[in-house]
Amino acid sequence: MNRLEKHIEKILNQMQSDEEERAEMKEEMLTHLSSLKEQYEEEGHTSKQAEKKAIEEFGDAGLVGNGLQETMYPYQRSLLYVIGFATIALGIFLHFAFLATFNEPSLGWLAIQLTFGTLVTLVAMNIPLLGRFYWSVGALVFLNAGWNGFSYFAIIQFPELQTILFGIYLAVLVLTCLTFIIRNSYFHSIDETNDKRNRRLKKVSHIVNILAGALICGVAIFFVYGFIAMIGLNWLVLIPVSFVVGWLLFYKLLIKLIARKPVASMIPALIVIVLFTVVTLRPLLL
Amino acid sequence: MKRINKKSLWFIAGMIILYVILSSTGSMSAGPTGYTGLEDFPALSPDDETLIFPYAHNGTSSLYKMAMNGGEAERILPPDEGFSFEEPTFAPDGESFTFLKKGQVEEDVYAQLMLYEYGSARPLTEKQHNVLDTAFTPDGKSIYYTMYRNGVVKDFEFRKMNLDSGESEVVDHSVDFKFGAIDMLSDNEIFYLNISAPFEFSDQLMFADLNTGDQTPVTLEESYESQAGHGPALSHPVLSSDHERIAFADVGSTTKSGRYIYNIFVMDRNGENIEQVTNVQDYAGSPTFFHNRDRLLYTRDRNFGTSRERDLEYWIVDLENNIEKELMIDMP
Repeated sequence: MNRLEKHIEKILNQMQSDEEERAEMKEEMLTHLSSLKEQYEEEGHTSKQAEKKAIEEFGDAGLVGNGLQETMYPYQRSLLYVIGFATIALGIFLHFAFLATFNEPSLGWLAIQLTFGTLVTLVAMNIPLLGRFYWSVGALVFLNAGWNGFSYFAIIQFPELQTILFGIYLAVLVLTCLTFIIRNSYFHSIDETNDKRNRRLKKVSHIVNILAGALICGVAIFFVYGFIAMIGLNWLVLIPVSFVVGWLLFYKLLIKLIARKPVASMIPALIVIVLFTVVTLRPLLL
Repeated sequence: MKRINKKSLWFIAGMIILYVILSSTGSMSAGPTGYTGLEDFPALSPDDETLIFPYAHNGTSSLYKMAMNGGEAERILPPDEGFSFEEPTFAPDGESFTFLKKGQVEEDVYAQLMLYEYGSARPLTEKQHNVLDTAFTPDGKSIYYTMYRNGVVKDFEFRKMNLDSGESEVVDHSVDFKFGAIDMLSDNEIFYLNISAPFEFSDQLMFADLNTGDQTPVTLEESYESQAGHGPALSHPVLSSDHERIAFADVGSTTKSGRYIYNIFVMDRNGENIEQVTNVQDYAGSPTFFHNRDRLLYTRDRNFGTSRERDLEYWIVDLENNIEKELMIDMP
């Protein structure tokens, strides 16, 4: 690997692009750097001097890499930091709320909360390494949103004011998670050849599918709580949990389908949303 | 190839330290102490002169009695480690009463029916039976009760026990899912709350003849509108001594944040003339008619919906003028 390639590698190491995107960008940047090098050689510089000058003109690897990361995946890393720290902070707040309300801590709850917060923050810290595994990152953030949503069943046992404040905090956190997942999936399903209309369709398709997933998993979480509350923790809990896992696996396929056929891939999700709406609103309509 | 950020290791170490610190602060907490205070479902003697009520110390309740005209309460039964004595029901002669001895072994909750007479208590049912509701027959010779045989809902049973022989038998009566709040009008006439299956929200007050099986539902007047999300709550319904009126707790209003406010309602036995007789802004429940006066005893929880810890009080409402007054309990 020559000096120019090493510089490009340093730049790419700041980015969450997958291998295919990485290869395309590497080729583009190498072409650009090589032409710069040639210009300097024509001006009378030696090969080594020309390489050095080309790299200097191209810019610092850290700055260029971070700039490209923010241009191609705007705010995604920041969102991950926000979600991670907010999850950790919620764990700390809940810990003291448990102590104040029940006179005893919930250490298992705290451990899960801190683990989710730590994992999400670690992904943010290592986005160049882990960001390319976009489905895994999306699944982690989705599970984090689900766990935080499940926390709602703990906070309803707190005094009313605390329940309201924690409820707002949870709602904002879960919405931030869903926003990240939609953007994460969207950025990995578009390419340069997509026109504005196609990109918009893909964005809508991701929103609709994530919304359907949130509804399915929200109902599953409700049943998990119901089983635990009524018959205690037992194997029956795995039934609603399997719906969450199943949807996550299905969404992996769906991301690829959305990239090719954004409209068709919306249909199952739309059916889910319509069914959910009808079931929810039926008592009001009758 | 990019390697893991070295700061990550410091971050992981920091999070482990944070967990250790937080869990050590948690271990210094006092631990759950359990509720101390009045419990639900006090019982008023047939002459309205004596009140028997459960009072909890650190989560375990014992039974006390008190004269309604004042004086210090007196403990009837010493506490039994791990068991709570709750839900007393006076016999028609006022000389004896039943109560439930509740305990928990691992996840199984038991409620054994006990009879207190001649200064001591004896069990009427097996330990593993989970008794729900009891009612004496008007002659006081038998008790009707509902229970879960093995603590599970599908084993719901309605039984009658002869107190002289101690023998009990299953009463053949149709059950939708289960029923509760039973009261006997005669040896064969029953009033109860027919409880629908979970999420069906169609609980129904009912009079029935146990000989013929005929059932007469109490249809609430059309103008009555409960604020509960799925129709009237009909909590803790009770029948007056003359069997002409029914009292129950229901959601009369809600707070701005949507929290339910429960109050006591009284109506005729046919569901007409429903009137809200209490005016609390938190929770009023488990009403009990006085036998010889136009009054109602009920339980109030000032902490309802605002704290997990209950704060129960006993109140009396005069049904002629709806004036409410707290029944002060002087605990020993």
